[in-house]
Amino acid sequence: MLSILPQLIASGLLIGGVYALLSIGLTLIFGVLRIVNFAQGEFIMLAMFGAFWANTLLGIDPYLSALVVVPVIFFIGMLVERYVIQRILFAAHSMQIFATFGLSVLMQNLALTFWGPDYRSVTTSYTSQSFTIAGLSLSATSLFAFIAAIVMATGLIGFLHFTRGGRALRAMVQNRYAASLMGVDTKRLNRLAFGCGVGCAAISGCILTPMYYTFPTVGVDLIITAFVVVVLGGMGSVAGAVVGGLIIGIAQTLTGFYLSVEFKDVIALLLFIVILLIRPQGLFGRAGTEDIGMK
Amino acid sequence: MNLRRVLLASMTALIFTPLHAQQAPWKIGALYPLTGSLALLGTENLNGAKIAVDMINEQGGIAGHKIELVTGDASTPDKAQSEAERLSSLENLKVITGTYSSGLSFAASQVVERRGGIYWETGGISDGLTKRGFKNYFRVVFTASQNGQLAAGLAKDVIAKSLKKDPKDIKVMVIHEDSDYGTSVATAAETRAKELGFAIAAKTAYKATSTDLAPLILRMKAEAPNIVIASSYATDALLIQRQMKQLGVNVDAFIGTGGIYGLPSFAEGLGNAVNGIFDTEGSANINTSALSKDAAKQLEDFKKRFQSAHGKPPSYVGTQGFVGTYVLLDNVLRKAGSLEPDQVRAVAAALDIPDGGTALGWGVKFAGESDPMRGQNIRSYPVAQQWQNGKLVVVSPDKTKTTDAILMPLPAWDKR
Repeated sequence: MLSILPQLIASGLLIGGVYALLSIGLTLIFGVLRIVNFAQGEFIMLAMFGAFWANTLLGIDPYLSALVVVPVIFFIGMLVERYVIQRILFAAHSMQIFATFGLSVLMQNLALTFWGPDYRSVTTSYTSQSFTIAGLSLSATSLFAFIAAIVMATGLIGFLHFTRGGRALRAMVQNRYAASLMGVDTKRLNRLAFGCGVGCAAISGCILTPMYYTFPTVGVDLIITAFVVVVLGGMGSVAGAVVGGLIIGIAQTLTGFYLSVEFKDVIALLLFIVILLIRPQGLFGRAGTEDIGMK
Repeated sequence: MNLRRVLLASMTALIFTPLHAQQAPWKIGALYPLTGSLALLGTENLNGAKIAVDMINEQGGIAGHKIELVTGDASTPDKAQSEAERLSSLENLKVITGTYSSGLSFAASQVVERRGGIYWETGGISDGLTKRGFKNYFRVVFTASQNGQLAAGLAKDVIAKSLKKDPKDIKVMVIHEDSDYGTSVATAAETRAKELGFAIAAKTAYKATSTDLAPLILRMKAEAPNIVIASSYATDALLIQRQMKQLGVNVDAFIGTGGIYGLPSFAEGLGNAVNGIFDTEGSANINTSALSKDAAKQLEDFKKRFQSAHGKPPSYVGTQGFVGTYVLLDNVLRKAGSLEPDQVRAVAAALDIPDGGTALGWGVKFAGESDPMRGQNIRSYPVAQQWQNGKLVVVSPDKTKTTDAILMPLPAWDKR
């Protein structure tokens, strides 16, 4: 039973990478706009449909389709920010929840109307492929997702810390009023951040299309764990999303194998509660994140 | 009055006269999940029902009344309940049909039974639905237990035979999604497999919405079963196959128990690797020699209509919607001559359609008042199918099969 441990850890890390990929956009939006985007899963779904249609109609590889799908969804995200998010930015939390949750239901049903409830899938040469390295089977699609998550997180952290735009964003998060006095265009930055957040969702959608069925409610199944990961990692922390994703992934895989597949989520959530008891702000979060601070 | 008005008045009269001459349509409730995660098969089930209504209406309806389905969107148990409430009280409907999913049927039929209406189930298979002793609940389709038992029977009669092994030398692993559906089918499969002398490796539950099933598949690898029996929902079925391939887990036979395993989406997601996988549920493609002449004609007509309306052949779920609804209209309501629950119940309780009398090969006879499964059609049964050359064909039981099962044992993944 122990001989399988390295494989379990490898599989856990890979699915952890998928969780991280799903969580990065969510944590970015929360970090900047202080809004929990309940429609994040639906942006992933939208991207999956984009990748699916690009593959079915034009024969474009789903990964490659990101070049078209991501800018389109980035643009849709900016529109959503302009007409929905901006209006509720300073409203009560309940209003914000209703607005983004409503958006999620709307998007699901638009997809249902336009594309129907069928389970669609993209089959490429690598959909069920795996690499064997040192006796470990690594699924090709999960490995790509893992790499994408690391690249995306590194890029974002680099942007936030080492560019002018990133500094302006962090300044705005610390104190919106002071930042705007210093000449930071907060409205534009908000829109950009929301666009980037759902752009991350779009990237993960394209990357995950070869792994899962594409259907109108796929986002709901995919995003649930991401919420846990974001809170565990610290809301607003990109590095936290990656580390949180990996922790949940490994915890689920190990407990799923050694204890019970059925309760793998239960045990991962128990671990989650324990970590939050010790560090209520999450692994990489700062206390009182809802008011200030983003890493 | 000028000429225009006269013309307008006479045209209006023309338009409305035929309506007055005809009798008011009979309205029947149809509760299915049309949005949300169950929308695909809920809609398919309803589409089958609609064709039954069309066929009856083209024959002139029932007692001069056209039939009209009033649909309700039962996407969750809560909504099933509120839609059942709406149909039975606001719309005042006495006969309601549905529901595709057992969980939704539990919720909706509770309301309808309380209000004294008839609930006609054409899809939900959980055994518990007909264990409640409801006097107005009738289920045309087979139960989850029957389906699980068939899967185990298939393992013995077809697979073990072909592998030339004794059941006690064959390890069976049962995996299932953890809702009522998966659990009840899997429990029945495990119990029957034990009775048949198989060695049970494990029975493992998982969540259908899991984004990763590596722990399950690695468990499978450790147990090394010969036969896997699986009750799955959708994405999980695809994940199981793909992760078995990625992690190099080979088995001699894989049996899915209906749902996604019988849908084109499953074959699309797997390509050639789908061939050899079994699926137990009903089938629109059973050997027509198992059907009466009328039933065979009905089935052919139904398939043609479904294909032209939806651009694809009907799945089993669409066909069960058709068969259930057709029996309700043609065999029950026509004879009852009314929608009054007392009369409808009396006719349904006395219904006696012999085997082969419906398009799925089933007869119809409902278990009576004193039976613990009151309202269950005791003449319905699932069949075993197999994917061969990208198509589902019926391979067991003998009277319904169209060809023999192949690919036992399943080739290793690199040869599939």
